[in-house]
Amino acid sequence: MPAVRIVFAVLAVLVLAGLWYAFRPHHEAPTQSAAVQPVPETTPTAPVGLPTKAFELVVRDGKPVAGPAGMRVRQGERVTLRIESNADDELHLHGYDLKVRIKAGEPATLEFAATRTGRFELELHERHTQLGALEVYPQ
Amino acid sequence: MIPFVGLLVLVFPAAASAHAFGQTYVLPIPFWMYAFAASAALALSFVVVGYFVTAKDAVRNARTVDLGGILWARGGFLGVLRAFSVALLALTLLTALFGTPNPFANFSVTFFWIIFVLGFAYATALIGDVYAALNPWRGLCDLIEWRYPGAFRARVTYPAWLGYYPALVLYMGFIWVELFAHASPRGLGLYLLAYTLINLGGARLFGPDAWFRYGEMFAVVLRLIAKMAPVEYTSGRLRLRQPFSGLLKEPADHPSLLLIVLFMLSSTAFDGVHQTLPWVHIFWKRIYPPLAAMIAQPYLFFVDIYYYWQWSMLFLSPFFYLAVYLAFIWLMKRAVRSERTLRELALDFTFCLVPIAFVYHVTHYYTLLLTQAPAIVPLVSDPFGWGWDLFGTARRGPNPVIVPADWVWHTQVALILVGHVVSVYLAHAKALELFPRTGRAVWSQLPMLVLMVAFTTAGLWILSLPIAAGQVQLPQTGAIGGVALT
Repeated sequence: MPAVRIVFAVLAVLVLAGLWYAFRPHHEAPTQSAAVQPVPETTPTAPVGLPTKAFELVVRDGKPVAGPAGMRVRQGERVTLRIESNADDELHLHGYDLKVRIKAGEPATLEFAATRTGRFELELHERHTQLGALEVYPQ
Repeated sequence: MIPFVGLLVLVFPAAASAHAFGQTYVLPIPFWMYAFAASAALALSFVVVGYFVTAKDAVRNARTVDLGGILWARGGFLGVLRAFSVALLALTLLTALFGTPNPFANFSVTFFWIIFVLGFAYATALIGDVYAALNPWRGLCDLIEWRYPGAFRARVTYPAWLGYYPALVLYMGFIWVELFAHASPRGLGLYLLAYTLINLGGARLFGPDAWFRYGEMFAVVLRLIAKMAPVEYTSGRLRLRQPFSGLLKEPADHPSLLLIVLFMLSSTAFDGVHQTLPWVHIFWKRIYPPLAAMIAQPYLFFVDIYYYWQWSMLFLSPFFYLAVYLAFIWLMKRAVRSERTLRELALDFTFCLVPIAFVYHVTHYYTLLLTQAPAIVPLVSDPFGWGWDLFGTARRGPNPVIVPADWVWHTQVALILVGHVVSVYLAHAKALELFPRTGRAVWSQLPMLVLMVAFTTAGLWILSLPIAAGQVQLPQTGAIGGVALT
């Protein structure tokens, strides 16, 4: 391999490393957007030090009528999802593959630790209605 | 109430699926990473330019290493493989048409959309154009020809002006099915059946050689991808070659091939953008409100219009890219005062865009491949979803691979940068070959470089856009639809 190539390969690596260093966020920027207003809440089940985020969804005749525009949490946080519907159905969180039965008029709760990162859709299983998505950002 | 349901499906078309089938769990790239990647693309482009300024030669390793005769070139092995390929097509058709309507329990859906369309296409970039030998539709033609000699004697000489346009039209139809048809297994079966009939008809009319070169879209697209492969198959020998060198071998032989490469790029960009908030807002916040005031019942009317708008944007997308591409080729022609025509130059540099288009496709869909491909293991044992267990794997499959979001971001950025640098490098090597006076060749590449940085940055930007699909946005949907929600 001619020396020129090595020089340019090294140059490319230096450029990449320099830019990476320049652009990488140096402080932890919060990923919460203004649109999201999770209700902070501590439950006795949550291990100490891990914040819990609670979201509430209200469904009427299979359609979402109240709830956050997007559910954003950080990896490792505990999530409490409360859903209330006037019809029986099943709530399904994709990716985590969590399911909870919903009985008409009775609030149902899904509690879990957000261990996986990504964008996971929430669905009413029987009606195939999309209720929104949980976005879990890396720490 | 009905309008609301319509709206939900409409504004959130991903309610059924983002791709034709299956789920991905990808988050938009964070802004800082997008900014890093865009500047890195620019900076690395200049490193490549610098290399060519100093190196002053188009060092292109055209040498190949003979790895021996291809196993399947001998004896009946190729015949067995081709029979297997035809059998897989038949199985896909049968399971699609007669199997369970549940797409996740039906062999055809996972096999076609995930294993063939994604997995096999990506493998082709490594193992080369084996599809040319294994094309199931070609195999089917041979089978019929063997039983009824003369069935595929060309009746019409393939007209030169037609080029790859049949493949382009079929490719557009294919992407439309992928993004909009939301086809059930049965629907997929009917589309595949129609495609099979088109191929048989085309081969009967023009003869298999012409049809499978210009008309069958998978053959055309996979041949493009195979040009990147580090191996080639020539007259029964397997040869090792420098990766991507296949793209510099010859210019594109028809403008329609340029459109296919551009559509590969633009359709992926469209898939990325058509469910994001900024895109959805273009229609619903800019186009819809002024027009809606003129019509009674505007919402119902615009539901249909919105679909036509999305479809026409998809079909027009390669022509937008073509306009941009030709503008930069024209600038390049001006920069070097080349004797070559615009058309010749446009075709000369066509294949240099393949790496950018390909890595962009991979960044969009590789997570889908990882989450969905393991499902093929149980499906092989129970292809129809009838409760069979042929190989004892029906209830035992590997778990889907869910890649953590930060890994996805890093691989997306890395892949896009690699594709970008390869494309810039290839374009330089091509320029040195076409405009031998080095000074001019390097200058010629400034417009090309801007073009490629633009394509790459646009791709990255799309990956960073927030996704509209599936988000509950009641106040906005209410305002958009003008429908009472309760």
